[in-house]
Order: sequence, then C-alpha cells, then structure tokens
Amino acid sequence: MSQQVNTRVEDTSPVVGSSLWQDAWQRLKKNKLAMLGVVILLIIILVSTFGPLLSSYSYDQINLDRNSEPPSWEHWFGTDQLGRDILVRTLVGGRISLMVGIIATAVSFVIGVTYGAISGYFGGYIDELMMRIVDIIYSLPYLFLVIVLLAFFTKSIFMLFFILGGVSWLTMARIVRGQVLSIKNQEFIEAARAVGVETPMIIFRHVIPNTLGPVIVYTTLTIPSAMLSEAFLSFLGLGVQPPLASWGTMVNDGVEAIAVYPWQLIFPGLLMAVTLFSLNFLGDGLRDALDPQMRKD
Amino acid sequence: MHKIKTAIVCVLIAIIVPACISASAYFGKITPRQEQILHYSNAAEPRSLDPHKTSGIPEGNIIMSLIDRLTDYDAKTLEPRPAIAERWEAVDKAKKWIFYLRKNVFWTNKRPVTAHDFVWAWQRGIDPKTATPYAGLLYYVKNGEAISQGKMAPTELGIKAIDDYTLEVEMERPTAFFIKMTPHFVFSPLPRETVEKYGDKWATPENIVSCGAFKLAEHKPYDKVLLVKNPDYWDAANVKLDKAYFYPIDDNPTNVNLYKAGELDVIQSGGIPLSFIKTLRKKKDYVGGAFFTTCYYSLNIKRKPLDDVRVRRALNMAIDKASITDKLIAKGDLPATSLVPPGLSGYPKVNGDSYNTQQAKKLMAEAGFPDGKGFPTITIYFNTLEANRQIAEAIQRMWKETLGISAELQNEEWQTFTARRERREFDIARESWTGDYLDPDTFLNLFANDNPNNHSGWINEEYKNLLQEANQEPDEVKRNEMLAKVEKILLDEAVIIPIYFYALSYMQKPYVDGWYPNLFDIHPLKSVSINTNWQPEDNLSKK
Amino acid sequence: MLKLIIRRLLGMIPVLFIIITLTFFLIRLAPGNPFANDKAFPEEVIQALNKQYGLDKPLHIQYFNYITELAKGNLGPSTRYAGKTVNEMIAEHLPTSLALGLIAYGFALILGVSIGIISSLRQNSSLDYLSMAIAMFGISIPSFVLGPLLVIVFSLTLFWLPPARWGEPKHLILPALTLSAIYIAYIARLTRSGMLEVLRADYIRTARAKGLTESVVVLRHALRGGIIPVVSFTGPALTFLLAGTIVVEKIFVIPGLGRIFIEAANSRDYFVVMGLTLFVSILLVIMNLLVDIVIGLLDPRISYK
Repeated sequence: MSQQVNTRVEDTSPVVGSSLWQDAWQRLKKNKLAMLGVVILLIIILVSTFGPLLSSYSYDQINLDRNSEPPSWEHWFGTDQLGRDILVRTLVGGRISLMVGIIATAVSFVIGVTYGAISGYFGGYIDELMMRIVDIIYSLPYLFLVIVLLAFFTKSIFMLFFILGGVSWLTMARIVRGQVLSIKNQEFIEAARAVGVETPMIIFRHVIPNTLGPVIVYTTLTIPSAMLSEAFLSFLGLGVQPPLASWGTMVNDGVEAIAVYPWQLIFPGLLMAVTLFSLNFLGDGLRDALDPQMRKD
Repeated sequence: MHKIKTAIVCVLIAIIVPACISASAYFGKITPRQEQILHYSNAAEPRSLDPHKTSGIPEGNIIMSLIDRLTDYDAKTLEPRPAIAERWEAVDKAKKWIFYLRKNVFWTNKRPVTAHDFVWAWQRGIDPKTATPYAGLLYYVKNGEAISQGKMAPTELGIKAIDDYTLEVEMERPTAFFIKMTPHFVFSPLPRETVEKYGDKWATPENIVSCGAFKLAEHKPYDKVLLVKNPDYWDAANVKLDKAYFYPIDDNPTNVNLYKAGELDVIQSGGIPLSFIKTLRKKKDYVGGAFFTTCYYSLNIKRKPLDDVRVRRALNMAIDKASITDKLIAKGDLPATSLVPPGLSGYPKVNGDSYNTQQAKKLMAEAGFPDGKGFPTITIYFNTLEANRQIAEAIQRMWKETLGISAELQNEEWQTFTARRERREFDIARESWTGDYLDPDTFLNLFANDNPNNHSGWINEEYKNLLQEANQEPDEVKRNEMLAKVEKILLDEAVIIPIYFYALSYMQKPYVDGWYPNLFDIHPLKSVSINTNWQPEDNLSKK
Repeated sequence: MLKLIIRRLLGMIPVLFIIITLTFFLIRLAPGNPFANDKAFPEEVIQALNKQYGLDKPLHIQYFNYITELAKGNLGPSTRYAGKTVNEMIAEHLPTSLALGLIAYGFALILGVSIGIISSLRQNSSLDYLSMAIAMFGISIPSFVLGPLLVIVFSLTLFWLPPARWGEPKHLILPALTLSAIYIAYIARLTRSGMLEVLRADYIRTARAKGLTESVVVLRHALRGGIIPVVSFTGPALTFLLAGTIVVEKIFVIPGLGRIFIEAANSRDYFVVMGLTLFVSILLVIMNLLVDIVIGLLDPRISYK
C-alpha cells in the first residue's frame, strides 16, 4: 500500500511529470489501432483541406439536369438533389464538422474537467453550489437559448462554437466530479496533502490524471454529438448556411432520401463514421497510454 | 473494423434498395380493407375542434365532417352544394342573401337545427371575446369588422332568423361571391346550450353536440381522432363510411412508411418527402392535380435597391422557374408569372414578366448595375424546410450566373422568420398563400392596404379602390375582367416574384372511392367509401 | 443520509425558482408570439387573444401572476390548444414518455453493463474490440438515421413490426430499440473504463487473493465501484428520456412529452414550455439526488458532509 502511494507521488513530481507525456507518447506509438486512427484522421484532414482544390467541381455548382444521379465515374459519390457533386460537398463539409467536433470537445474538456474536479474535490457547499449551477444551465430550454442569442447577436462561426461548447461541458463536469469524489479520499491524495502539496497542484497533478479514463471515453462520445448538434443548429439558422453543408446537415438531409437516393446519406455518413471510429481508437489508446496504473505494470 | 462496417452498410443497401424501389404499379400494400373504415394522415394535432378557435386545414377536415354548414363543398369542383340550406337566393345585387333551411336536420341531442343556431354562432364568431382566427371571413357580413374591433355589439351583425327555417344575411357591401365562402367551417351553426354549458371544453368527445355526417367518438391528443357515422344524420342514407381515423403525423417519411405498410389509406397533399416524388409519381396510386397555392418571394420595396422597379423586374426575369418546377421539385407544379393560381372558372390568365435573361440584364444595366457591378449583397430569408432551401439555392445561383449579383441565404426557425417578415426586416422573404374560397379576391386582397399578410411595404390606392369596386360588381364576367386589371397592376409593379403554383401531391389507395383531387385538398367524408372488392387490373384481366 | 435528502430537497427550491425566472424571461425574449400564424390573424383578434390569456399586461405583472398561480399548483393554460391546461397536457402525455423511456433505458442498462463487463474482463481481446466497435456504431449512428433504418428492415422488408404509431406492445419495440442504441453504447463504454480502473485496485486483488470466485469478485466487488460512472451518467440521461424524446416520438408518431415540447416551442406556447421546463428541472434534481444516494451506497469512501 505504502509502496503505491510513493509511486504516485513520484509520478507527479515535476521531473517525472515531463516524462509522463513522453512515456505516454512512447506507449501510444506502440498501440497499432491508435496509430491507425491517427493516420486515418490525418488523411481525412488533408483530403478535406486540399481535396476540393483538385476537383473539377465546386461545392455550389448546380446542374439541375443531372440531379440525384448515383455514383459514376464523373461523380464518384453521385450527385445531390440540385445536381451538385457529393464528393466535393462531403470534403468541404468535413472541414466544418471536424472543426466543430474539435472545438466543442476542447471546450467541454477544459471547462468540464476543471469545473468537475474543483467541485468534487472541495465538496460540501462549494460542490453543492457548483452542481446546482450545472443543474440550472442544464434545465434551461436550450432551443430558446439559441433562438434568443440568434435574435440579439450577429451570426458567426464563433457564436456556433460558443453555443456548442457552452453546453457540452455540463455532463463532463458531472462525470469528473463523480470520479473525484471517489478518489479524493484515497491514500495517495491524502499523502500529497500531508507532505504539503498545494491544492491547485493536487487537483491538476494528482486528481485529474486519475479521472482521465472516463474523461477520454466521454470526450470521444462528445464529438459525434457535437457534430450532430451542429446540424440541429443549422436548422435554427446558426451553423453552416446553404449552399455550404456539413456532414451533420448532409446526413440530416440524406435520411429523408435514404430509401430513394441512399448515396446522399451513405457517403457523408460513412466519412463521418470513419472519423469517429478513428477518434475513438485514438481516444482508447490515449487512455491506456496515460493510465497511471498501466504505467506501473 | 472498417471492413465490418462497410460490410454492414452493403448488406443494408442490398436490403433497402430493392425493398423501396419495386417495380409494382402501386406503392405497398393494396389489399382492400374489408370494412368501411378510412385511415387518414392529417398532418397536425388539431388545435381545437371548435370552429371559432382554429384556422388550420387539419382541424377543418375534422370539423367539416362533424358539423354541417349552410352549404358543403362539392367533392370534385368545390362549388357550394346544398347542405342545411336546401336553397338560397341573392337579393338586391347580392347585398342580401336568404337561406331556406331543411327541417329534418337535428343536433345529436335530438334538438332540430334552426336558423337561430346560425345567428347565435356567427355572432359568437365575430365577438372579439371569442377571438376567432378566421373572423376575417365574417367581415364580409354587415358590421362584421366594426364588431370585431369592439365598436359595436355582436348582436348588430347582419344576420337574422326570419323564422326557424329562414335565415337572412346582410352583407357589408354587395358580395356576389359570398356563397362560395359559405361551406367554410367558420360559418358553422353551433349548439348554444352545449357551448354555454361546457365553455372551452364543449368540443370534446364527452361533451360535444354536433349535426354532421359523423360523430366524434375519440380524441387522443397527438395520437388520433376517431369519427363514427352519425345514424341520425339527415342524409345518412348516402354516407358509406362507418369510421374514419385522423392521425396527426408531421413526419413525411413516416407517412410514406405507414402508407406502404397499409396502415394509412390516404396521405394528405404535401405529406410526401420531396425525394420520394420522382419515384412515387410513376405509381398508379399517386395523385397530382392543381392546388390553390402560390409560392412567391416578397420584395421589400422600402429598401434600396429593391425600391427600383427595374431591379425587381430583372430579379424576376432572371429566374428560370420552369427548371425549378420540372427538374428540381418535379411534382407537377407550374411555373408562375402571376399571383392568382390557374383553375378558377371564368378568371382570365393574367401574364406578368416571364423568364428572359437578355431583358433582365438590360433592366439591371438601366438601373445602374451593369453585370451586377455595384449591386449590394441581398439576403433571401426563408423558414427552414428542405424545399425552400433547395429553391433558394437554385435562385441564388441563377442570379449569380445571369445578373452577376450575389445573394445570401438565411434560413430561420419559423417564428423568428415570421416575426422578421412582420417587422419587414428583410430584402427578400419567402411566402406562400393558399386561397380560402374559390375566388381571385382571396389572393388579390392580400395587397389591399391594411392586410397584415402584405409584407412588401407596397401601398397603392388605385389597386385598393379598383379591387373594392370589382368586388361589388354583381356581373361575374365583368367582375373577372376588372379583377384581372387589378392583378396586372401588382405584376407590373413587380412587388412580388411569383415562383410557382403548387400542385397537389398525395397518395391514395386504389380501393378508396369518392376522394377526388381538388384545389383545396378538401375531401368531404360524406362521399368517401372503401371498395372492398377492389382488385388490381392485371388480376381482373386474368379472370 | 436522511439529512442529505432533506437538505437537497430544500436546496431544490431556490434552484427551481432561478430556473423558472430565467426561463420565463428567456422565452419571452425570443422573437415571435403565440398567435403568429401562416395567415396572419386580424390585429383585433390578436389583441383579444392576448387579453384572454393575460399576455397584454406588462411582463413583470405577468411574471408575478405566473408565480402566484404556480404556488397554487396551476401551470397555466395552453395558448395553442384552446381549453387545455398545461397540467392536463402533462398528465395526458407523461405516461407515454415514462413507458418508452423506462423500457429503453432498462434495456440499455442491462445490455450496456453486460457488454462493458465482458469487454473489461477480456481487455484488448478481439471480443473487446468487437463490442467496442459495436458500441461506437451505436454512438455514430444518430437516432434519426437508426430509426428509419430499423423501420425499413423490420417493418417494410420483413413485415415483423408496425412502422409507427402507439398503443399496443408491438408499437414499443422499434422506438425503444432506436432510443436505447446510443445509451447501450455510452453505458458499455463507461462500464468498461470504470471496471478497468477498479479491477486493478488493491481491494480487488485482495479479494482475488482471498480465493473468492471470479464471478463473486466481479459482480460483488468490482462492479460496485466500476459502475459509478454509469450511475453518474444515468441522472441526466434518464431525465432526458423520461422528459420525452423529440426525434423518436416524431418518427414513430408517439404521443409523448417530446412532441408536446417541440410543438409548444415552435408555436411559442409560453405556459407549456414553462411547465415542461419546470417538470424536467424537478425530475433532474430528483434524479441527481438519487444518483448521489446510489453512489454513496455503492462506494462507502464517498462522504457527504
């Protein structure tokens, strides 16, 4: 028991701390699935960024004579109901969806983890107050929040991120808090306290790293919901505006045509799914790589 | 892992595609029901079954089966047919109307329906305390508008019972087309004792007293409304259906699924997803036809550069409407150059500007924007709907290619959009209008001065005066000519960009009889029946 | 424990009060009004309607009136459905959402936890990867895609189940399946990671060292701690399921609270939106209280002082 406490305290001392990330990277590199995820993600990012430049079609080029055509040599992914090339539209849409996924997740990660950790660590009235604030934000009708913000502020991509990030951290905060509650009284935390480590240091160096398992898992779950929320927000007039599209809006529109023009759903949907899978493998790899207990083995 | 997923997707495609696009002449199950029961997809949950508390088509479909009016719509032509009123006559150039009522019409509480029921009901309808959404139609009756504004008592309304079975209606002005409005549910009679006893809750299955071909048997909100045949109805011998179910389904793909599975017999017009139209149009149970709705863009003529009629005309002429209706929507809609939809007997076709890119460019140059140079970015606003978006995207592109101007598109949630339109905070806003009665006036009065549905900011005294003059003209032919002139003023000023006239678009099982396509998509259940012996044609030919 | 419950329930009151107040003014700030219509009603009709529902008074008076009525348990009238009260509407539609939500979540809980446990016990085996891939599948396919897919397969191709509607047990299966998919996925992943943490803890090693059978170790000892993230997740998740699910109710034409809410929001049916928001808030607070109690029972190390 005491042995373990020692390891933990050492683990998080500054010197060893810097090697924590190096260690993690070393371990991550060995995880084939995680690396496959990284490679696929890089390919998708590259293709979304530069792919549209290579195509002879543009995302908004309408050709009503050739609407809803199945995949062919000219249009690899087929055309949509306005005769636009789905391949180009999917790639361009990927830029938006990837950005949305990454930023919403980052916000949820930073705010949610910090907030949850503080709440859980201090407990008592602070915890009570902080969690009630989460409850309140949770309970406000999100739809109206968006409608009102749209009515009073000009639409912009920042507002989209603000709104997406603004709610995605709530569940994260709850999960982290739950985790922290269960570990904060464990011996290694008390030992750190006993040797006089400052509170912020305890939280960020000792508490949070031990909640990373569920956090990373939940993060990989946040990304798809952020991408789909973006489609919902486009519906309200925020998010991408036509003729631009995102994966979320393309999937949304494609569902209606699922039985008639399945390619309008399948290609953007597939690309989105592959991205989510890759992110997920990466997430699992990261989780394992960062797991303090795994390191010990 | 990706292979697994791809495999799953492939399997799914293999299942889905043949399942959905089958070669059959009909779509889905076509074995006739063996009972006289109709299952209808009715778009939305009725807001109320009280004729004075609602304005929607879903409610109207139910109310009209529950409560007979003076007249009823002809199932095919929508012309008024005798219902409670056996016959009627217009007096004094249609300043007054006399209705002679049948003596064999009874409320479900066994009391006879009399002229007094109409008097009380219409007075209630115009009473500002009732706040009837469709009060506007009662404004044609004498003192209607003044009563609604609280300037007179409801008893001052121009309606009186000469005796129990003779009703006299006095109009505000001579109104020859009043009779065409009378089948509308806002002109229903009401059972005073029941309404007064139960107040807001009188139109529930437990309390309601009605006098129509059907009775209200069940109403489960957001689930279904069940009507059953009224055995005491005056014309019960001609009513064939025993039961009719109305389902509030607002999801179009669900409509199609339920129809395919044979759980719906008819889908209301507009209830089919856009993407299905091209496939379903080839089926024998698809029904098209003319509909009384115009889709148009309102131009905010108070804003530059839309205050210039040349710009407005150029924008209109640069849109290839035929390619939108034929290639994009492809459900048989007609490209529009005017406001009033075709299909009104006797009303001449009024022609506005048609598609002409050369002329459009020329007008734009004259207005000071050659090849779009110096033209500000304008925004097209529309409420979020896939069809609205696709049309806007197509128009955006056409303007760019023909006129060299850039338009932005902004979709909005419906309320936000409606509020914006009301405040006239737009350059261009999407609109559609469905007529309330079979007369050009139901469209043309949109642009008479104080109509709250005129969002363009365009006010024209000549237009208003000519319209009022035409409406008082008793001679049908003369009146139509005058109305056509009124419409021409609107089109010459290019206040709106008419885009297309809606087509009906619905599915109807081949074993449903007596359900005809018409301009309102209104279908009196009285004439509907199930042909339990129906068989597909190829079966018949084999025998 | 009793003290905790009482304190939390008392603490609920100010929270609910803040939620009501914020929501009240928030929804009034939104553009639109309850009597907006495709065909605009005449001006005098709108005025009469506003008067009828007390919406013509200054906003702070309306707020005061609302709170006063609320204190009597009256959630107000619906402006969309003439003659209906919000109390009636919740009473009418809650049982539907309750039935659907509980069945879907119960199913998700059983399946998700089982998958999660199996995965964690066989970490990095192909079984683990397969389960997690299926879980990921559940997460990446949103319900508005999964629902129609299930309908196409089970209703329109195999003809086993009705494509939509409500009332009989057979109507329940496809919507419950659609709803539970994402929760199965979430729960499986959360269980797996929670179990992985716990399985390496010392007390589990001790339990194993004592010679307890694997199933006892896993189900009695490890699961207690490993399931905590799932329990935390259950609070908000179950709340949202019970409050009605907009997409699934729409696709399957189910008369639940989700459709009521979206319809009310679209038509600015102020009192209905308020009533449902309040209902969800109370549900959420109660759920979270239950969650904390369950976590306390599962994990004696957590103290609530």
